[in-house]
Amino acid sequence: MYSFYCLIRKEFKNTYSSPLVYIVTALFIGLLGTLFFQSLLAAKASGQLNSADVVVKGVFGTLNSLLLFVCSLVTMRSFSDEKKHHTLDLLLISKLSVTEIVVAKFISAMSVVFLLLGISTIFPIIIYFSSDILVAPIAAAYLGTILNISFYVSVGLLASSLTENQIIAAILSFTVNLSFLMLAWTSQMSDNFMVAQIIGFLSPATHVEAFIRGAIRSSDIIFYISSLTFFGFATKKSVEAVRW
Amino acid sequence: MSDGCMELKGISKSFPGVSALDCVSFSVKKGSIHGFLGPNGAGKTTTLKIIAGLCGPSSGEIYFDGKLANSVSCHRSIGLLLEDTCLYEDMQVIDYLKLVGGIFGEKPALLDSQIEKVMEQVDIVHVKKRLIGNLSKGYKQRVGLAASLVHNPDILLLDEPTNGLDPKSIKNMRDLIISLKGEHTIIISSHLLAEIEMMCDDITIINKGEVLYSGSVEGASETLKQSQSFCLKYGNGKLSWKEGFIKEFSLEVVEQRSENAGESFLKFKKRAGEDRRFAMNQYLLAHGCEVFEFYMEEKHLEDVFLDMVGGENV
Repeated sequence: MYSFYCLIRKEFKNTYSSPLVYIVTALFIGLLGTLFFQSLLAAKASGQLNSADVVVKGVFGTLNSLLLFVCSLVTMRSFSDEKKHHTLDLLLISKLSVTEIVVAKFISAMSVVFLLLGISTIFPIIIYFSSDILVAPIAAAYLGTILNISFYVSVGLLASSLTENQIIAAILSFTVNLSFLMLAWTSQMSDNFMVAQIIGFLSPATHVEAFIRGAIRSSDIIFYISSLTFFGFATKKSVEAVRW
Repeated sequence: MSDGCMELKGISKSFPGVSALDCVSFSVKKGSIHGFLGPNGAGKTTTLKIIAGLCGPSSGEIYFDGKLANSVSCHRSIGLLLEDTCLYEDMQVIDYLKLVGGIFGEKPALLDSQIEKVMEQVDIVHVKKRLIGNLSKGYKQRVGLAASLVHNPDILLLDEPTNGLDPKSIKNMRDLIISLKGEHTIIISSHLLAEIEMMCDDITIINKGEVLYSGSVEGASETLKQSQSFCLKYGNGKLSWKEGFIKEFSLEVVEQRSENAGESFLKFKKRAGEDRRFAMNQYLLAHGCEVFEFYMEEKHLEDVFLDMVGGENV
C-alpha cells in the first residue's frame, strides 16, 4: 500500500507541477463563466430567469463538451511521457502491479477534473441564492458529469498508453471520445429502431443527457461502469504489452 | 548450480520476424561480477530485460537461488540500470530516490537511512537537492545506480553503465562497481572490454542471440591460448624449412610479408593442442631458418571477443 501511496504522491506532484493544469483551469473558468453569463442573459431575455433549470441544463450540456478537450489534455502525458523517458520500465519492475499503476494515473487525472468541477459549483451556488432551484437535479447532473468524465479519462489513458507522443495521444483521445459522442447523433439517422437504440446506447452523450435532466437510471450507471472497466482493462493490457 | 545465484536455461526470445535470443544458457555466481559481452544487436539488453522481468521469454526458464522464476514477484530483488536510465528529470535527486525506494517496497522507517547510505556510496550527497535534469551525464548515471541500489537488491543488472562517460567518470564508475562486489551479484554489459577484464570474475560472450562462451575470464584466456598467434621474423637466405614447418605443426598462416630486402615476417596461428613453442623453436633452428625474432603475440579479452564474434561491428 505504501508503494501505491508513493506513486500517487508522485503523480499528483507531476500533474500539479505542470503549467498545463493551470492554463487549462484558467481557460476552463473563463469559458464556463462566459457561458454562464450568456445563459443568464438568454434566460432573462426569454423571461425565464426564475427557471434556473434552463440555465443549469445549458451550462452542463456545454460543460461536458468542454471537458472532452480538457480530459484529452490532462491525460495525454500519463503514459506517453513515461514511455518516452523509459520511466515506465522503472514502474514495471517495481513492487507495483500494472493495475495499481493504471489506477494511480486515473486518480491523478480525475483529481484535475474534480478541481475544475469544484470551481464550476460556483454557478449553481449563485443561482441557488438568487432563485428557486432544486438541489437534487443539480446533484444528478454533477454525478452524470463525473461519470462522463471518467469515461473520457479512461479513453484518454488508453490513448496515452498506445504511443510515446503526447500530441498523438491527445488527438487520439479526442477523436475516439468525439466519435463516441457522435454515435448519439448517428443513431438518429437510422431507420431501424433497434439499431438506433444500440448505437445510441453506446454513446456517453445519451447517458449524460439523462443525468442532466435529473434522472438517475441504472442502465446509465451500468454503461459507465462497463466502459470504465473495459477501457481500464484495455489500458492495463496495453501497458503490459511492453513485457510481450 | 551449487554456488549459483541465478541461472538461465534455454532462454529464447522472438520478435515478429526476428529471433533475438536463441537458447541462451549461463549461470552467475553469488556475489560475483559477471561481464556480458556482445556486439551491437547481440541480445544483451533483451537478456537483461528478461532477467529483470521487463520482457517475457518466448521459451526457457530463469532460476534465482535454485527457485524457478515464474512470477513477476521473483524479479523484485533485482536492481536495474538500463542504458536509457529511468530517471524523472523534473525531480530532485532525493525525491527520486525516495520514490524509487517507496515503489520497491522499502519500509518507510528504513528508507531515509538507506537513501543516505546509497548516496554516500555513489557520492551524490552534494547534489541531492538538485534537479536530475540539470545534472551531467556522469551524475545521472550515478543517480541511476543509486536508484537501482536503494531497495538493496540481491542482483544488480547494469546495462552499459559507462557509456558516454568521460575517462575520469569511467574510472569512478568502475571503482564504484568493484566496491559493490560481494554485497550484490552484478551482471554488467559493456563494450569496453578492458573494463570487463578489470572488473569481472566471469564473462558470457553472446552474438546473434547465441552464447559463444560462458565462464571465467581466465578460462577465456585459456581458450585463447589454444589458438594462439605467433610472429616470426626471419632472414630470406634459406626458405626450404617453411613448407615443412607449417605442415609439421598444422599452422594456419595469418599474414606473410617482406619487411625489407633480407627480412620477412610471418604470422601464424596454432590450432588446439599442447604448447609446442619449444619444439617449433628447435625445428626452425634445425632446418636452418635464420630466426631474428620469434614470439607469441600477447592477447587480451578483446582478442578472444573479436575471435569469437568474428570481428564484426562491436
